[in-house]
Amino acid sequence: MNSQLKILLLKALKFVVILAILDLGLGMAVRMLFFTQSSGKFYRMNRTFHKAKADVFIFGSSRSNHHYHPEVLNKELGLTSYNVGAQGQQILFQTTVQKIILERIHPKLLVLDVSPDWMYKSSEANDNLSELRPFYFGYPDIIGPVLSVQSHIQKLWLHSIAYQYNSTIVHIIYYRLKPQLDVDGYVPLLHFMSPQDFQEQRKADSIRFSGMKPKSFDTVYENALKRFLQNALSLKIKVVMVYSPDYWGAKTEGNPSAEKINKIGRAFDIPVIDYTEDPFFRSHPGFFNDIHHLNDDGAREFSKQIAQKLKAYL
Amino acid sequence: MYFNTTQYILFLPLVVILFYLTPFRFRWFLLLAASYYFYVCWRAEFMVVIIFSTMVNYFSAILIARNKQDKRKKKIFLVIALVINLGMLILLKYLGFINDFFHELFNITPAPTSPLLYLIAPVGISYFTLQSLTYVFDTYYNLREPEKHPGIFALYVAFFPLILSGPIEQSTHLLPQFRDRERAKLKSSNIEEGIKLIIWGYFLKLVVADRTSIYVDSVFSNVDRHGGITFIAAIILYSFQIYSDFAGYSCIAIGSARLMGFDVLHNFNRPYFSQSIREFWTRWHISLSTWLRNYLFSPLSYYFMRKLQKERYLKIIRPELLTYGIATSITFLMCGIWHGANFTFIIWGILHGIYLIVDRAINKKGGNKVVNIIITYILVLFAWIFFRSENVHQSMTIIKAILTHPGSLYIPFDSDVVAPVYAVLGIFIMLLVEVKREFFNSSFSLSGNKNEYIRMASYGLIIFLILYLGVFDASQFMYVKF
Repeated sequence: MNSQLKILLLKALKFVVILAILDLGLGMAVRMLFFTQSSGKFYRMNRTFHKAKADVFIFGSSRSNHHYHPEVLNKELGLTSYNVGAQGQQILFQTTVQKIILERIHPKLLVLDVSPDWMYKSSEANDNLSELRPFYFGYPDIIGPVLSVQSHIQKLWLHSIAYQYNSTIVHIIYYRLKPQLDVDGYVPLLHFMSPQDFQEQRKADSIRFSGMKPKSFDTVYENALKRFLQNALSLKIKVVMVYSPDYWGAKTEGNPSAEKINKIGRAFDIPVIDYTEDPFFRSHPGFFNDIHHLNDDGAREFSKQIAQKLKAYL
Repeated sequence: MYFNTTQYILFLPLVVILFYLTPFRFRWFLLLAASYYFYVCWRAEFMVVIIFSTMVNYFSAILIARNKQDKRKKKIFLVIALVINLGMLILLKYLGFINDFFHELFNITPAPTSPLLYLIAPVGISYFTLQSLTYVFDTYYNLREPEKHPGIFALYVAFFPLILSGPIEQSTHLLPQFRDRERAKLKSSNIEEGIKLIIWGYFLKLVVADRTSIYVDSVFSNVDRHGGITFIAAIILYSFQIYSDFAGYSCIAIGSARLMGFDVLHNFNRPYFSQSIREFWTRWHISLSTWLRNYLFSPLSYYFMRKLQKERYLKIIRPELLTYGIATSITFLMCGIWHGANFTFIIWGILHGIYLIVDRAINKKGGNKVVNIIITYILVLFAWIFFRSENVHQSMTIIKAILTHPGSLYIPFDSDVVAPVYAVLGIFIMLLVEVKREFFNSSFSLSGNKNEYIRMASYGLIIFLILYLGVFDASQFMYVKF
């Protein structure tokens, strides 16, 4: 064998070993840092996957996270509830989280807070799935296939511990310095939307959506929604889908994506409760933190109202 | 395919392994096939342009060399090559811009509706056109004999590490390397150096550039909503974004070539530590500035030097300063236009031209090193405002806001967390390395350490940081669009 080739192979071997040691050593430190968090979104996810127990689980995006107050629901329903809503996450994420929870416990009811646009293709939704990476090593068979939506060779990268915890360090440090309180997963929003906030956010939303291409559907999301419903029904767990209140912008009527969600709901005989254009909430801006999210007062009021409706399905 | 895709990370080692397994006489073919495959991954139609460009320049150089003694004929073939090369560039890259300009100003060209006016420019056209012209010029000036082997010449035009965004190589430097048997031998030092450059390139791109772009893009996409302080923050971040994006790209390109033993010129030399704009242009996009100096500025200077014979112009301007001023203005106007079909690039080029002329006129030497660096950086920052803006109106809005409406600093949040912190973290690590290299180069070095294990651990640490802090969305390299 060529002497240069020998040197090269030896160097390559040494480098791979050093790389593996570094990834393992520093990776374990990073992992430890990650799993010893005591507040923030990753802490809540960790608690959801490993500890949370309740009769009612609420799934959804940030709207779910800020709209369903477990204490109010517990009082109204006479059951325990837990909020697993996560910012920017859509149906693929919900189905994955649901599967992990259902491996551990079987609640009585699952509330899926849906957004009217969830069936449209969304690169943002796919990008946000990265938040599942830190949990990959615990649930490779459940999380691996979902992450392959981002790229078919994600699995290759996930061999690196450093990559599993990519982009988490600032969150870890931030929530260590400034702990975020939550009530069984629910994070209250404490701002009151002013007329000026409303105008500014409406304008920002208009700008944000004005240049967007016509929306197309993604069957991956449709199938994920179907799987969510099937997973629950096969274990005889009840499911209710809810469109929670929105002050401006969201529409289910005439929205092809919402129509698809409703159609799937009907096919599985799942009740769908629609609050998007609810006149009560739309006439109470004081219940909103911003145009798409209720504040704590709004969440308490909404939780009271939705609890009355959920009772009928328990 | 971009350098920051998994496709490239698999493609490159495969090509390198095949390169060393292939007998020397067939390597040009392997590299050409790999380069064409790399290019076709963008759009198969673009191949027509690159093959046409290759043929034009190949035959032009042969005809120029054949007519060495006949200056007139030689010049005609040079002009033909120039017209075809630049004509192709104008047709594919600038036709829409020229049409819009004349339509808006004089209404003498058609309304900007015909899709034919807005053809998609093949990626890398600005680079391979300049690289091909280098070869034609070098042949014209008798600096080299024309390359007889069409395959090797085609490889020079399309060599995959360089085709998208350079560095723009000199024909006298790169072409002989394709025939150099000694250079093509497997050397572990080349492989290590190549990998080191590639790792640093990915760090610059994924950890610094792509992180800073998140903030910069969010500010520049909502110019009406921000104040001066936010714009200053955004433009500072942009200066690091564009540098780390392009320097990162260049490192990956140079490293990829080095893996196969090729020595490609460096493109950046810590430009933000320049003490004058003149120095800045010897440290920023070195291959382009070298090209402009050799093939535009020098011939222009020579031409005007012969024409301007008076002792003083307008009673005060010395002819050498006037020559310098005219040659610099034209060179930097062309430099701006080369970057894209937009007035913002033209203004950016003109600004740099003005800086250089003023610098030359004042001819100030010495001064405090730190102060010089800061002044130069501020001047460069100011010009970046135009370079980054969508249009001149946007640039003016930003400058006006900086001068009259400071506002408060815009801080975006990701789940309550300050998102640009990652960008600042990346810039901090980059600056740490660059300050060390610039000011303490002879002291202890990790990546240049004699101890192999320390060297390797430093590469491993950078890989760890890329995986831990990087953005993995395969975003486009900024200079590819130029």
